[in-house]
Amino acid sequence: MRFWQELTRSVKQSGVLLWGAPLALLAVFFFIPMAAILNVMFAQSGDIVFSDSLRPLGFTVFQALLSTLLTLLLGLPAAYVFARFDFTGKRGLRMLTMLPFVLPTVVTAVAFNALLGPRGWVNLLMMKLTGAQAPPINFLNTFTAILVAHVFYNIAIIIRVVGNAWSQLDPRLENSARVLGASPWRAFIEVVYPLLRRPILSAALLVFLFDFTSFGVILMLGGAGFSTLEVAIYTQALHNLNLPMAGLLSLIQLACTVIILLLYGWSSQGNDVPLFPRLSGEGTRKPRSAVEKGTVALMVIILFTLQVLPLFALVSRSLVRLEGERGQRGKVQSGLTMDYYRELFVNRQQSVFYVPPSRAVINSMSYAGITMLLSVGAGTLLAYAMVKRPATRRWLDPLVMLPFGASSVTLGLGLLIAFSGSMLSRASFPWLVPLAHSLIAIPFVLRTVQPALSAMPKSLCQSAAVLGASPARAWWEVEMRLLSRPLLVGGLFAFTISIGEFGATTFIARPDNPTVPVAIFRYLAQPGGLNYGQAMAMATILIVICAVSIGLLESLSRAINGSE
Amino acid sequence: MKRRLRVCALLSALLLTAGCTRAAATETATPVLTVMTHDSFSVSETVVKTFEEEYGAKLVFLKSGDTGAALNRAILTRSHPEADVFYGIDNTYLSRALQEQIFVPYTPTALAQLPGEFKSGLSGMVTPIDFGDVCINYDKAWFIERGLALPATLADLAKPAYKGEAGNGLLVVENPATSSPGLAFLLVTIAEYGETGYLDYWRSLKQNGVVVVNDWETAYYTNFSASSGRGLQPMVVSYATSPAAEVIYASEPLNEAPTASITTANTCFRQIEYAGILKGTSQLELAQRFIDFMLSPVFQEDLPLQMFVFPVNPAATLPDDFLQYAAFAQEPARIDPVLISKNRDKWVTEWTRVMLP
Amino acid sequence: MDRLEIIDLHKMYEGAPLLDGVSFYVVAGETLCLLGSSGSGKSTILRIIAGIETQDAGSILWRGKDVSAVPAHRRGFGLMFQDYALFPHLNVSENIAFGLRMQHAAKDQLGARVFEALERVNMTAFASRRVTDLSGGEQQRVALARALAPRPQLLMLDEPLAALDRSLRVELQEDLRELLHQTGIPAIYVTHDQEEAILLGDRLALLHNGRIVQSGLTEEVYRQPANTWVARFLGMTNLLEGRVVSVNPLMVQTACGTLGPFVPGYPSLLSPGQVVHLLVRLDGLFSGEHQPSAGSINGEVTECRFMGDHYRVRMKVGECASLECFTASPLVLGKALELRLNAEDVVVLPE
Repeated sequence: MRFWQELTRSVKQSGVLLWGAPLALLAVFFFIPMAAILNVMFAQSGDIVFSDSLRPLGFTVFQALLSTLLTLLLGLPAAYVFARFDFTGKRGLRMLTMLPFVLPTVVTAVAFNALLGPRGWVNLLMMKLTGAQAPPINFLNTFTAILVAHVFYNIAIIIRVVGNAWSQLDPRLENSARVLGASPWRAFIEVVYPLLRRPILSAALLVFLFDFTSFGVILMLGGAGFSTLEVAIYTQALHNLNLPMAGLLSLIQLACTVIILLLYGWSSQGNDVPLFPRLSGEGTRKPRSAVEKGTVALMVIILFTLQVLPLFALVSRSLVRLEGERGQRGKVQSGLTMDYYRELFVNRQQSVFYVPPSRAVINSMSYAGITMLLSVGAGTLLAYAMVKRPATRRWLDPLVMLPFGASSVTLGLGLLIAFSGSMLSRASFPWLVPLAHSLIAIPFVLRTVQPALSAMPKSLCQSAAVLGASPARAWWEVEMRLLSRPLLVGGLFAFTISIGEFGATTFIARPDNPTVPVAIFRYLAQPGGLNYGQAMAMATILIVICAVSIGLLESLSRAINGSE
Repeated sequence: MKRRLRVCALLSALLLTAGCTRAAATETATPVLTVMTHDSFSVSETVVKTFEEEYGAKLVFLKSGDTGAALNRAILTRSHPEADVFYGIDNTYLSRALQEQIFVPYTPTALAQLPGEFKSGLSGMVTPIDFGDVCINYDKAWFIERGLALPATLADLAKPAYKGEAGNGLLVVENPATSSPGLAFLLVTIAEYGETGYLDYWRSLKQNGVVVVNDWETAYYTNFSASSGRGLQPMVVSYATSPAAEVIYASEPLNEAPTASITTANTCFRQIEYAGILKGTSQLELAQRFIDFMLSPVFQEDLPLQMFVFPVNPAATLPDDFLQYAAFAQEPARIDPVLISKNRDKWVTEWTRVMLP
Repeated sequence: MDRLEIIDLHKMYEGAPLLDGVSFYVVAGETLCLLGSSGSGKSTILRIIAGIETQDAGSILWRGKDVSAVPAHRRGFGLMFQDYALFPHLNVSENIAFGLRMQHAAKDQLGARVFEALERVNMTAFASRRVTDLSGGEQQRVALARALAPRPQLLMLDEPLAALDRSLRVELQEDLRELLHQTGIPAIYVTHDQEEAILLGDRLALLHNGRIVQSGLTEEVYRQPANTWVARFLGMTNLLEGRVVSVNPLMVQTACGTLGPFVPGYPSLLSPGQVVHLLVRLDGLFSGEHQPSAGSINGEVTECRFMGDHYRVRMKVGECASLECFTASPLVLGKALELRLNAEDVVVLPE
């Protein structure tokens, strides 16, 4: 009896009730499959050439560092502008910056091609203006393309994670630094950065790991001249069938991730700065001085060019038919058409695998919805564990981040062998896909919710209790309402990651539930103008549906919050 | 009272679900045949129904990425096979699959009717189903406009006439390390110039400005000038059937394909796709019937417009559109599958060193 | 009867005892002011009573029953936090309605009761304002209205005026006093400001070193502080250090000679040789017609300051002590005075 009391007491004290479930999820869907696949990989036949891993390793680190720096360089001013200023179209622009996340890389490649490719809008325009015969801009298959695509994809992380924290930072702190004689730059370095160091570092870590494990961008936009560890793993595992080599590369990648996480843990030590929760919209104002107006305008233009133009180019290609006039390759005639959309609803070849767009959308949305719920749930539990038992943070945080830096090809194969023939096999367990997506999404939820939670004054919940709210009710009516913004941001990331992700899950996706990206792939896998147009139309539908969902989720949170 | 009502409702709900599960159980008595295949696989609903009705079975297709990924999946899960039949393994992977011993032997009677070229190296394990040639496709209008003659041999491609301007060569090829048409074209050059000469040939292609990209989608839709992507290269390594797809899937009805394939001797690689029965299947009988079915005209005639490949069964009649625009090579390059399996890593690595230093 | 009794409360904080046997009570219709310096554990006592913190030992009796095991939300007590803890996501009336909703108040009554609560604090015009837009005083009123709206059985206020400026504080003190008497529920008012305590408290309880050193009617406490700390804490500065010479009669030796006999004050045991302070009330000092009952002190005027309707006179007595008194007319600096002490004007305070 006493023993049980002691046991329950120590269980409660360790906070295991909070982190137990998310960690179990991680163990079953990450550690076990990874261990299983690495074990199997080294048992297969194939030659290990250690020196072949050095070049991809060097390039991986180099491009990830450079991409992260560039993303920060553009993302921090953007986060500042979003956190501090009101301007027309702010909400729309913030939502649009989130959209690249939902795009499968193959679509992004097409979007950049539509904008900057040899016959992209920019080159067509410049050729028309200058009368040049050859396209002046050579963008695709260059190192620049890799960097730009990484910024395109990941700037939303900086804007959302850092911007969220920044908007919670009392603007008077910056103002008083300015009054005390600090230039804007000094005020940032001496006041804002120390206070925002945690969110900046943690957002930068997410970006770095995304770039570090980059696969599709390198393959499709960087072209054949560039290879990261992930690309090498893909090539070795799926083309050369050299699993031991793929295993070695996966181990190197995992080891690097561990080192990066340890460095991060070491550099982000210290306590969270307690910030009183501010409702979004507080502390923002219209830009006043010419410098402020200029800054806002410049950031809007940059974000618009970088984030929105490729999307527009993509959408335009779903509505515009480009026909080369016979004998005049340089000139292209264009005409508006809705054919590509109409054709989506037709199963021309009576294929068993034809997916009506509505089905694909419903599948994508339900996977994304479940992923969102799962990762918001698990991420919130983890955030509570870390806030209530700060000691757990030291080991819990890196553990949760690990799937982020793991090879998705390897994890996909791992999930495959870990669950084949078991109760949880792909066929009988439709939740496998959203669960795998959640592994990537949980760190996002954690990184948005945890700082807000630790900054929340305890007196709010206590006063709710004194006013007669049961703990559950106080949690729901006070804490959850105040966390609704960070929960929403985390949830949005989960939602969009799930919609766009296809790395680990192509192996475990159920073919009878094809998602929108799968449908896009099917069209792009065959030649023909119609296929190309339908792929663009499907991608446009994906973008529109996601924009609508993001808009709905945002207004839902505003309705709950009664703010902005 | 209210409470009791609720209990009643709960009990009846439980009974109902129990009834449902029993009903579901009887339904699953229909045998299910699972076919593991690659993402490009497609088949008509009517063809599937024909098989299902004839054998009172249900067909389930398990798509698992590209050919390499699907094969990996079959190899890694061989202790708990997820499927009964594997379809879509090609001749570049064949000997590796045979070496992994994932199949049980089966030779359908219809195999005898097939041309001899499809029957080599089967080891009694797999059955050829379809084939397609990886050939260079070209932008017809571009060549007409320039008045440039088409290259007829691999050697022509290395000539100054096909050099192109300012680093933009006329030919885009896929990286053999990440793309199966890319690998196919590498094999063509090895067949032509031998293990000793192919690297020199590639060096001369490089000097002629050949463009290398990682995947077929990029090569075709971004770089190839006749596709909807409107790229800069008038020649691309693709399939001999691609011109047919350009007509069938044109934005506006066309009477003439904008592209065509170069199918001259020794410039194409023939990819043959095989099917086999996976070890550990519990539906051996049904799996054998399905292999038979795949060689039957019903299935064979469905292949061209679903996957843009040619049926191996000469008895199958081809659709008109397909006959008119799709091509295949009379004399594709020949290379021993065993040799491919043994050396592909080495060749790809050497190629990478020369082309992508 | 509505009566809260705290018995022998103990609480450790970071390894040291914060509360070391605190006991007091409060009954309906009265306001108990809990006084103590900052960090003395006053707020902790309120939080323990409210149920959002737990004591290590001791009991909290409400109407004679121990409520220690009752969770905060079922105690039916109101607590107004020092930082007000208004919910930033709710507007003024939503904040006030929160407690009512928790009681499942009927929807049709909700509006009326919120309005009533707003009316009580003169904030009806602010009903739909965001709480983050309010000034400190307005926030304070909303917090008060929120605490009162659910009609708590007991109201606790944790330094509700500490964050406000002086003039606002004085104004709100009056309002609060009226409100607390109107409601008629027992109230505990925590403060470190003795003026506030005098104005608002029917009774005082003084917390020092984890214990209640004195509690009683406000007047009584002022008349008879229990010891030097209480006197000093309540702002009494006319203190002369001395040593008990004899207990009966009570004679004390000071720098100005041996004085006495005095009447023993607050129940405390004095013994010869003990160090004490004499709290001297200088009201009747100069009515020196009759013979002083407790001796006299010689002093010299060192400061005389005009204070409006009276003068404050500071005198040097003995070697290093000084006393203050008020006079109707000014006194010349350096003038020698003889202060005649009556026994009832002096309280002997132990340390």
